[in-house]
Amino acid sequence: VVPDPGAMAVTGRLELSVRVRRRSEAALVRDARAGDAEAVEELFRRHWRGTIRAAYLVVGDAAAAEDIAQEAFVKAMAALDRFDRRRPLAPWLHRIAVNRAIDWARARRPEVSTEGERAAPPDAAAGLSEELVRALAALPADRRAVVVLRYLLEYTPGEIAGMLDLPRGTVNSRLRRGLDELERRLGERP
Amino acid sequence: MTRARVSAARDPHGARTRRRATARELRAALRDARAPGEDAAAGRALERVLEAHAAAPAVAPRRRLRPALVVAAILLAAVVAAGLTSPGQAVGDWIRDVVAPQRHVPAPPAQVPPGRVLARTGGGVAMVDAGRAGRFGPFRDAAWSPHGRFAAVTTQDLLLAVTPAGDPRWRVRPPAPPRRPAWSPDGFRIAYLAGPQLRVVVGDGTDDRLFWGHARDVGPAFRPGAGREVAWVERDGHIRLADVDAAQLLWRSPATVPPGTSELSWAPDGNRVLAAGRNRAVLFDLRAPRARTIRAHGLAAAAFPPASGPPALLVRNAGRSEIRLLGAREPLISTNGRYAGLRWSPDGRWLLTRWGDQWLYVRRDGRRAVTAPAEGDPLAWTR
Repeated sequence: VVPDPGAMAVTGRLELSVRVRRRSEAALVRDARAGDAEAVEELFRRHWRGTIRAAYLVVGDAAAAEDIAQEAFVKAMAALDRFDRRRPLAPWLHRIAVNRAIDWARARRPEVSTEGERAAPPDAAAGLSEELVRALAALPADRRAVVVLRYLLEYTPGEIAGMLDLPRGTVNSRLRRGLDELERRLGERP
Repeated sequence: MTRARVSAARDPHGARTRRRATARELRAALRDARAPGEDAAAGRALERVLEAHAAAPAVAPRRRLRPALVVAAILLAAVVAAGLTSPGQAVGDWIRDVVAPQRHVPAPPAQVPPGRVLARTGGGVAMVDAGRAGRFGPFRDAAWSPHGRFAAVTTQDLLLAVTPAGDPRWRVRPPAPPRRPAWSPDGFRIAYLAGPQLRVVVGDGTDDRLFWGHARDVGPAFRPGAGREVAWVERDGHIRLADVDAAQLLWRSPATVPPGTSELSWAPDGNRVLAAGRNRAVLFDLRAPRARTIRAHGLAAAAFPPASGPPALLVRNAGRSEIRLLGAREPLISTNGRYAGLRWSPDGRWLLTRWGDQWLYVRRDGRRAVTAPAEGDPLAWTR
């Protein structure tokens, strides 16, 4: 199929930025359900970064984070007809991505270093110090996920409890322990 | 008892205070955190998401009203609007929302492929990052380093290495105006032309020297995966291949390049090199004694992809232009108008050409094309 670039020029980026970007999220979800690819693109644009960053901080592996975030979007788009569009989309996406990231991190075998060599550090995130990446990576996956949801994505403990199907007290205790451990590890820096 | 004392009594070891401080520090650190390669990943993921969305059945909007009810609502709105401006406006908005036609035909996606493109414009070189253009500098030619951390650029007198922000790191002043720089795959050498000379400089700007005295005005090209072996076109029209460190000639093409050749394009395996001129291209195989000629009336450019696959050809004929892969029966795209230049994306999934005042991105499988306002002639594309 040879697309008609003339038609695409008409519906190009400029129009997308003005018309689609003004739509509310509920309208975008409605249009995406009706088959509008532009609406999907705009939803993707709004939520991609938060989703991949959360996945990355939980798994510490850029390639895996990309797969997880992509999978979350694909799943979400496939299930849009079941989504209540009066609700925000982000918690739903983040719930899928973070739960998948926890599974991935749990299933991953610990890195074994050969004698005299250090285990490979997690991929360095742009804008984050290596020591913080290491300190986060040292937390258990479920604790790390709670910390990421709270301090990267700014969800409340109650919302996190709902996303991860946990009692709120468990979320609070994981947050406390996570912060204590991070403080201890970061305090060890020279 | 003061508030501080109460707090101290509840938190005798200061744990809560320390946690708050850690939380503040963490929140500030995470605010600027990015996943490595998240923008490049976005381009790949969006394609997959759009494919999944296109494969899913569309769901008709639930809001459906009988025509009679709609008419009644419109009348009601008109009546209310006549008497009460503000509520009338509100009802009018509601009516418009209810009766507005839904879009059932998906619009074509308009996502520009990711990466940074250096382009020659009237005022110098511009850098276009994911569709957004920025001025790079008053340069003539430009080439990205292998990982896109620097660009080699030329002015009337100078060859410079500049950062993506356009800040110079070093400069050399060759004896003649420099042009057509090219980086070695490891980033440690730059070959370029200056007058009739082929010159080579170390990647940190040191040891700039003459390498070959008589070269044609065809951009030199380092052989992929072979250390520091550069190919250029000699004055007699034959391609030469040499190791720039050992100063050792390795190969001379059995035939000359076609007239009009301005670039050499290596296959990613490093065994074949393509020279495209007017109406024909010649494909040289270093392991074969004879070259293969590809004839195409109106051929204007040809380039191998950075990963495996056949080269792409740009052909202009009778007011139309097309891009096709060598050996394919159908073009990837064919339209009226004139395409200029042909560049592959770093991942080999897209081709870029200028089409009048538009940049035309064509996916390698021909199933998608995207246009964006042109920012000059594309010179180099990196991640």
